[in-house]
Amino acid sequence: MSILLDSDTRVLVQGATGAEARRLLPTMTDYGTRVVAGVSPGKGGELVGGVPVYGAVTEALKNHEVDLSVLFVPARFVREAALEAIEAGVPTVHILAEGVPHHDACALLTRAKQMGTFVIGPNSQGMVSPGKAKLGGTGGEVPDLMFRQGSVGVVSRSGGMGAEICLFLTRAGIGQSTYVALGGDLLIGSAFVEMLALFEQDPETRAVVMFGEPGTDREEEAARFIASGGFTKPVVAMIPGEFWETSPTPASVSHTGALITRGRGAPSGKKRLLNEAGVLIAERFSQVVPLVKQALEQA
Amino acid sequence: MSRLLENDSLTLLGEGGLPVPRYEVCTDSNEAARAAERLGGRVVIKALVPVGKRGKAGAVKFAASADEARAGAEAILGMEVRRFPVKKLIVMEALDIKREIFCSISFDAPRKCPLILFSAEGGVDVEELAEHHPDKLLEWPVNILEGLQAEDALELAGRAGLSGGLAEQVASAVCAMYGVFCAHDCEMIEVNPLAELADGRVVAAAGVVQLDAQALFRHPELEAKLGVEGGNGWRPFTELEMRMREIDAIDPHVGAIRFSEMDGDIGFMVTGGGYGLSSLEALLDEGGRPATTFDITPGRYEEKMRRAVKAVLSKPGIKGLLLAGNVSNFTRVDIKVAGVVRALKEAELDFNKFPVIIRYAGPGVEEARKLIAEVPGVEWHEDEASIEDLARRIVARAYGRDER
Repeated sequence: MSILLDSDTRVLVQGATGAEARRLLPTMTDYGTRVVAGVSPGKGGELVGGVPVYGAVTEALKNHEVDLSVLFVPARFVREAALEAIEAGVPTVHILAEGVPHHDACALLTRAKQMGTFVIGPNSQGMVSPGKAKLGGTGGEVPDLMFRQGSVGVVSRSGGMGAEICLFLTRAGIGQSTYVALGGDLLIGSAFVEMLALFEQDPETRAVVMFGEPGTDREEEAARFIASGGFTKPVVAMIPGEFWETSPTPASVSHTGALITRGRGAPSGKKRLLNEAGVLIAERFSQVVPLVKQALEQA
Repeated sequence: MSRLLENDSLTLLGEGGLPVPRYEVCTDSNEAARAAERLGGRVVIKALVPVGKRGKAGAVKFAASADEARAGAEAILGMEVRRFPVKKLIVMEALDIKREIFCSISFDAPRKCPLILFSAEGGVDVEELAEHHPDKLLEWPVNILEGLQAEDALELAGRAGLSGGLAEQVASAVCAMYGVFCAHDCEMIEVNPLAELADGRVVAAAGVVQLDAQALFRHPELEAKLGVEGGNGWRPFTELEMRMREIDAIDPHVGAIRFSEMDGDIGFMVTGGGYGLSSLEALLDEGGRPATTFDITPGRYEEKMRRAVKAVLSKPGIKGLLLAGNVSNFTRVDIKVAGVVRALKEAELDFNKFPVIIRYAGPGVEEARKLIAEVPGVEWHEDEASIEDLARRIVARAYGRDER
């Protein structure tokens, strides 16, 4: 049983008649994703890739049971579409769009928290449980080049680097349990801690790779979570960008930026905290695969 | 950059109901003198530049008369503040400030909500205050669905130690700021100082408004104010950066370019945020000196790639070019490579001497391989090449340390 997405996870596709969905939906179903229905306002009654499309989420839910809704909706309509799924009681909402306004993301995440909805994204490139199902663009036309079924969970703030890490794991013969692109935006639904909590419960996952980035304190949160015993399997982490810390920094334009961060968010600090929590730190990309091998021996 | 200049920031705050000082924008010293007369003689003259800490750079002057204003304006015009030449001034009525308050609103990533930062002891040293007396900086999260209620703002002011009429005026100012924050899709608003004047009024003596670049489609009137004066946020754009902006503008709907010029000599065109950052770190590690950074969002952007590569190759002193991207999911790499190949052919360089190293992987890679074969000497890699392999190769070849 993979986290979040398995071969029997019932998936709703919002924005099903748009160009992105028309292009990607067949690649998802071909891979094994169980897409039960689509939603597109005003387009009820159409079929996309053999999947029935409804005019509203509530309409789709009258006819289908849904575990997760993936949004192929353009950024400017994400707030409305996500709130529709949240209000209708869809348990997990996965938002792919890049460029969702901060105020919209904030509003939908606030409502999701009130309703107990699990949100991934915005700006998530996708999610894959290799050999079972995939959502969004990740893996695209060449999923078997990048992914193979196995026991390493991969979580990344960067969609590109997540894919690159999976590619090199697969090339080394190391399969993945589930890969999740968290999304690179400031405000996102789930981060490392939420994924680690799920991977902890997943018997198929024996180790996790996290790819972090400068800024925010998502990696720091993960370090505290691991240190407190929330995650007990081995973890490998890569967080590039330490060189910015010693380069001449741009003149600050406001006090708020400095007050908000107050020393948090720097890659060196993130790596130090994670290392103290027992995480194996890949200072360079070529260290990721050997450290994962080491982690799997420990596991 | 999506930060408004001070005059536009104050206008927005004023329209939102926050009292702001009277001011005028001037481009020469005589105008400044006339503005000072209209504003009552006693004025503050500040450089209108898109960076902070102008006072510490000597770009803020007080004047008690029109003549002093003229002299002050002359001194500031022509100055450079953190590499930005001063071409405009803001002449503002002088305020008799009794107390400086700090207030800002931005988004808090961990709590996923708007966060008000507030201190009854504002001013330029608010960071030091926060470091030594963290209790004097209040954090006030706001539920975006409920908004900021007047009584909450009053409680905030009270907790910060303000009372009576002052607390009420400050609370109403904070509510006005929050209104502007939401109405204009702001990423951050900072008023420092929010000034209590000797006559009892509360006024935003200085303000910074930063818009959300991802929400500008809802605010075309504000987007028009952003212009190129802000540069990359900490220095003005270079000529090459301006040229790349023109290239990006040939088609606003396909492949948005992010570019910056650096001091080095290796053309670094590695796309993908995380992949680019990891590659830059590896390049620096190997002793490489990047001349550029470059990113382009997915799309059919052959022509943009052609022009972008030519622009980078035109940079004086360039010793080599690294073009790479993380394994692609959908974007066909042959489209990117077609543009690159056209640029390389037109450049008429000997690529056995001028190293060009390319790595792409994903759909379209076979077609891309054939296209690259048309340009002799270009070094081509696919999914087997790691970030560090590529950094090592370009550094070895560009700096004549070829280990082949």
